[in-house]
Amino acid sequence: MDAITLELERHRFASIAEEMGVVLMRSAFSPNIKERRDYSCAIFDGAGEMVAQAAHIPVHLGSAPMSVAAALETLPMKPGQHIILNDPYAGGTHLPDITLVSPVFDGAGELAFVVANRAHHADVGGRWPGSMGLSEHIDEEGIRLGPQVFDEDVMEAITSASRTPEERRGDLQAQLAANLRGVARLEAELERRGKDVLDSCRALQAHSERFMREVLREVGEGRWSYEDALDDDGLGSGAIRIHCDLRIEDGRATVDLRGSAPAVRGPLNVPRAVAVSAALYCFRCLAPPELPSNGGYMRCVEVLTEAGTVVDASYPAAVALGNVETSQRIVDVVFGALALALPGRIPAASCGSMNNLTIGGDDPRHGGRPFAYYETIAGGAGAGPGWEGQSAVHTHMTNTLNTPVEALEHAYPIRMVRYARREGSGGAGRYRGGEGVVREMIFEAAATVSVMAERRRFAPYGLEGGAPGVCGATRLVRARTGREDVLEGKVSVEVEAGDRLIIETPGGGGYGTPDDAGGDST
Amino acid sequence: MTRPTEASRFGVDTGGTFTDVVMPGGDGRLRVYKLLSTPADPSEAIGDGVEALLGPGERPYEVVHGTTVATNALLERRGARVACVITAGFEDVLWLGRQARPHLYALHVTMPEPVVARADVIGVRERLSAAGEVVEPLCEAEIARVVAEVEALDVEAVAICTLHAWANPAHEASLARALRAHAAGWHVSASHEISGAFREFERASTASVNAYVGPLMARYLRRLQERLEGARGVEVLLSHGGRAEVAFAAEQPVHTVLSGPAGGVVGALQAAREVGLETIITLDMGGTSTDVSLVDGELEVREDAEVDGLSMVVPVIDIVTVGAGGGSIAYRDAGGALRVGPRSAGASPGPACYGRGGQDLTVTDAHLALGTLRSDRFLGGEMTLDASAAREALERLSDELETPPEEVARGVLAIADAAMARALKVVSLERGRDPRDYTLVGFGGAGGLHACRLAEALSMRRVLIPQNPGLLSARGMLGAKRRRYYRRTVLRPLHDVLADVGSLRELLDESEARARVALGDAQGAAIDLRWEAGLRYQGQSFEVVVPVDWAAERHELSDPSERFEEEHERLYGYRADREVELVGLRLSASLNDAPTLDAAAPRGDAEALAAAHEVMLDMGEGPQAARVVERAWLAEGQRIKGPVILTEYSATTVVLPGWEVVVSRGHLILEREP
Repeated sequence: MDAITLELERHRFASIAEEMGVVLMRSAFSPNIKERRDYSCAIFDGAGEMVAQAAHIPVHLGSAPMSVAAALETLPMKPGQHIILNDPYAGGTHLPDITLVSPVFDGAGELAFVVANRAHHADVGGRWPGSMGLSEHIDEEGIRLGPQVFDEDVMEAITSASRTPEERRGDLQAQLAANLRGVARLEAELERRGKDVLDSCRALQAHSERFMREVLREVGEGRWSYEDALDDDGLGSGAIRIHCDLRIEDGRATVDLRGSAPAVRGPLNVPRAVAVSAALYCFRCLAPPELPSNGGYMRCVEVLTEAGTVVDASYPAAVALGNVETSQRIVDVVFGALALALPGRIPAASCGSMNNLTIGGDDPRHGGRPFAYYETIAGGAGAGPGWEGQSAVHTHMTNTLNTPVEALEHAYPIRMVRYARREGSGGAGRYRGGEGVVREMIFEAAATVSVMAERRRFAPYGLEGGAPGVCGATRLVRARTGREDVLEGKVSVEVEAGDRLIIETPGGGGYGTPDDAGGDST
Repeated sequence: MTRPTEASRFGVDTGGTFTDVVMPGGDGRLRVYKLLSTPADPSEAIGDGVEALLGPGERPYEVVHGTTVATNALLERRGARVACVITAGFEDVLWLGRQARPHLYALHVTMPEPVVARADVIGVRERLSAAGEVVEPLCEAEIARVVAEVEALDVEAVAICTLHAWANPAHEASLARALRAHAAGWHVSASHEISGAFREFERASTASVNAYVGPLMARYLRRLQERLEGARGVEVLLSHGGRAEVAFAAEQPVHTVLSGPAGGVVGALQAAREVGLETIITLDMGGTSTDVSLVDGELEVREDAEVDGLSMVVPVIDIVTVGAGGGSIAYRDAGGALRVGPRSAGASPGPACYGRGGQDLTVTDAHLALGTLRSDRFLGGEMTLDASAAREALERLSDELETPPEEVARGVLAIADAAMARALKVVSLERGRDPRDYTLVGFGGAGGLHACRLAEALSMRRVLIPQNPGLLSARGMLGAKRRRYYRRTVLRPLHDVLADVGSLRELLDESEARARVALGDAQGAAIDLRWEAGLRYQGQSFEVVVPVDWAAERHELSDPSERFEEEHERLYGYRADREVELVGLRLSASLNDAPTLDAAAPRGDAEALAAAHEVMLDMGEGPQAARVVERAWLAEGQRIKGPVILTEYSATTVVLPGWEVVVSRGHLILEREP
């Protein structure tokens, strides 16, 4: 396909994926999707390879194709049917991420395209509000759906499992509306242009593959290794090793994560899909921003994992937090290895945790109506060659918006006391790491609070002589006793009205040896 | 409704390069004048332009102008030093923003830098709840302390944003009163005075931007008034397409950040109405970007704006911008595909054909190479384009892509079209509108070059190219109404509100009273008051805006539920069985005082038209002969079939084969033959 048609086709498919995203965001109910944009939409060819994607959350990059693959393997698709799934061992990531897959058939009844969207649902049942807690078994994390036809029974099953059934119903309707829009647009393309459309998809994928190979050839060839660790699994595992052996050869990269620790009891395991997403994210960052987002470039990055390890979970390993925490550490080790391959190009480690906060309870202001609130709190970005790290920003595998204080206080019985940058948390260096965040709040009603955070023991690394960022911390001040406790990194507690919670998130690593003016050295 | 005494009225658009001045002459013809802008003090060019067009005995006169003073001050970050007063504990609000980074896959994460220095933020001890109740009172001693702290900083302006001022503005109002009473004469911006919306970051950012550009704008407007001392009224076009008096623009300059693009949309709607059209999609294609907006009879106004990464919650015309313009650069990407933009050659060096050292092939160069742009007719022949430079740039890229030059040039245009078509789809299809129900209005330097092609891509049947497409924004200034928006946040279940409308009475009456004062009720002009309700299903966080009737004298609020559900279904494809929440109410108040322009009927030049020469044009379907016609040669009512290239001073219009042009009230209506 010629250089011009390629670009025209890219626009065509990207605009359909984006339109699906707009429909989803605008019609969804939960702040998770609307305010935080924790969703993505994509188009796949009939074989399940991605053609275009509108993603706001990198963790969906490589995992969406695996959802579609699981749906295609499990069920023969029929027109008008939609497949739903969230099973981490069959194409899902963690249970709150629900994926809806819909087929698009051509005039001859052949499967031509598949559209899919994935959205993070605030609560899919399980032991803890927000479906995130210190689980040891997948069954504690909420309702698990292997690939199956989405119908009213499934809708019923999800809504009855959730603490916020109405919101689930609204969000699922929005997901369906998004896919229907994608299906309609692609059917129109097929009707107008017939099978030619499918050749275009293959050409687009080949183009993206050529693009990434070019990027990788510029990196050069070699082998590099990097290792870092997660603090613990919240159940006393101690350090959890995450190891990356990186090999780049002839425009192809192999990310070998097989040296990582065996699966842990707590919810820090990730399915392979998440490990693949994290690795792909790093290479996506190396490429110029105009790299077309489709399955082509993904062919250039092979990710090796071993079943039963923390980066390739098997049933019934708990995975609730792997998606949000372990994925960040995988990014840290892949970038760590790339920093050896490309000195002077890669920044120091960023915050490295999504600092997940979940609060659930009954709202006395609305006659005891149940509520579930979930938010991730930003931290500092790592400093880089020539720049200070940005403060208070979501980095790497997440990019969700915060919930404004005014919206939060209107919706939940919580009063914020302080929301600020955390002074002095960025790692020292020739260029300082970005500062983390402090969020301090008072509960106006009894609630169950979970804070699931990392980088409480092992700090985000500095590079080229820069100091690491400062670790995060969580504290709770009890109203009744006035006692202040420093909490574990991963904790679920019952709080009373008047109790005060303070969360401090990690800063980013510094870059370069501090010069004389740079103050404290490592 | 016209003013008591007829005055000459000028529309002035101050752009980066040119200042355009237009004025309806006594004969119904529009007098136009284009002169170089004077960026150091834009009022110079405005004064000179007005003088040049103003005939003897034509005083008094009025001037409506679009200003880029606030926008440029933001882009160049040269506003005033601002102190920011924020609820204690939340002093970092401007730096926290919404936590998200603008570029997902960037190794170097950056966020837009606020316009305030962190050291100039003052925390104030006070606190309200989301219900507007006082949690911690704001005491007199605290107000005095804040004033003293501001005094200690060497600032010109102060922004105030306290939590939940949307629910209860009392604390912000007390602070503003005390600060305004101070002898220093600070420019004071209280967030609730600009917007009654909830979400503290956006409101704080809006107040800070307003304070930042306030003193500069006030000085500029004073100079302008001095220069136009003969003027009876000087007004400014706001981002929402309405006019406001100078005093308001000086107080709340944040409302002017999208003044220029708004003028274009207002002008396009005005031109469309002159030929009996009301449903349009505007295509304003300039050098670096293209602005697209859909108008369904009335301007669509939304309440979030962004300039250079800075968030503002102010009413603005709903315009979508894409990085495709005449100067957009074409290149081969690492995978071998041809890409166009978003990098632009800008005005300097500009496209290769400008002959100012630009080496890269741009959209303008591609037009020149294909013959749709005539090298000798650019800016009325004042500037000759260097066709050989364009050709060289094209051949370089053609070698790189191993594709014949003509094919590359056509490809560049098709790709620029694809980017613009996406914007057109965003404003129409994505919002549940069928583009085939709309007329595409092309203007700006390059709008006419692409309008026909884009209309075909979206199966639209009609294109309108207004008179003086390069001066449309200035013309829009003439047609704008004096208008204000007032936004009040409610955040209550709709059925509760409807059951107890009395509880809203104070809120609504107060907004109407403010509107009447602001629009000069004393003059006795009829004020058009329109209420709109922002509604959503409980739990959603985006609202759908529908009209609602508020009968002030009877205290009756119409039930907007059905309209809301219809609109929700149209936009998103479903209705939900959920409680509906009234997020807020918005009042649009306007004076129906814009004059009707008598568009002139052009006389044409039949002789010249008959002698028009032809060029060969190949748009991909083989070469065809196209006439090159000066627009002025066409007379009112005249019909002419494509392919034809219509040239005029500030623009070129390409009429494709299969399209017919008819001249109506000086505008060109292009219709696709069935």
